[in-house]
Amino acid sequence: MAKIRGAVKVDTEKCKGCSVCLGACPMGVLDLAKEVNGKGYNYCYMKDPEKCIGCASCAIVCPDGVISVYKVKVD
Amino acid sequence: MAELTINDIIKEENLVYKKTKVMTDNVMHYCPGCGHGTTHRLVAEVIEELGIQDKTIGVTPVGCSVLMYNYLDIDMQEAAHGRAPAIATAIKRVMPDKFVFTYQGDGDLAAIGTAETIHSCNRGENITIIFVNNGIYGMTGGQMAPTTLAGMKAVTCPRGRDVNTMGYPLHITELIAQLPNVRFVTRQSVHTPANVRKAKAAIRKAFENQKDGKG
Ligand code: SF4
Ligand code: SF4
Repeated sequence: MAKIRGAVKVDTEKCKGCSVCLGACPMGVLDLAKEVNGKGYNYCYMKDPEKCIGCASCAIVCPDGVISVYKVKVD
Repeated sequence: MAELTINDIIKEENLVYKKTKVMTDNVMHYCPGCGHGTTHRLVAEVIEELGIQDKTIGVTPVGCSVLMYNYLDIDMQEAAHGRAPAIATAIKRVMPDKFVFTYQGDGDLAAIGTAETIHSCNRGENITIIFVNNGIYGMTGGQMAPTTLAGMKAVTCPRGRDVNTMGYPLHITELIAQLPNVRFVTRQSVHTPANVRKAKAAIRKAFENQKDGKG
């Protein structure tokens, strides 16, 4: 069965750790890192990358537009 | 089949969403989570989709979003506090083939600029006004605004807005909707993916109305 796999790329230096994307993700993929970026924000990363479906919900709500979304169909 | 790694997915040909080129790469000065960033991006995406990047002129307000011209790669004009619709009126009348929009917060549009807002709408100017309402004066530290909701707390009304002494919130969107020359008024939010999509559709419709000369 064809399955969709997605992945997101976060521009971690520009992420402000606001968590808006965390709540928007229907699959619970994202979380904030324990580490901080150059501005002192806990940046967003994929905690559960296998679950991502590439729906881009996280990217369209990110106020700073730091998320890019990729998607592939797997047979 | 071998397990797919993240690097197999993150490839240019699999890209489904990234920030539009109508936005610059400058880091926005807004606080974490602020909806201005999202709204800026929606405007930029609509401009890109309609292919009007070199035909659009934005007018920025006074308030947090005063620096919007740093983030959108289009022509923009800064207006005096509250006067953006007046400036936009002038630009549109001189250059009717341009897409002209204002981007204003509630302090700008519904307080100091109430007269400009109401009269430009009443004249039915063929412009788009994007009104970003957070019900508070954010840039100056969270004071009560005319749009602050009843019971909502602000630093100048720490127990919440009391309508008996402070008046009722000014619902300017509803006021404008009464005017016969106004074609399209809508209220949207950007806090969930579904609402972001709806807000974008509304902005797109507003720009399309301008193209059809319907304001
Ligand atoms: S919404 Fe954007 S800025 Fe906020 S935590 Fe997520 S990636 Fe970072
Ligand atoms: S693309 Fe969809 S599933 Fe993947 S992280 Fe973003 S919101 Fe979650």
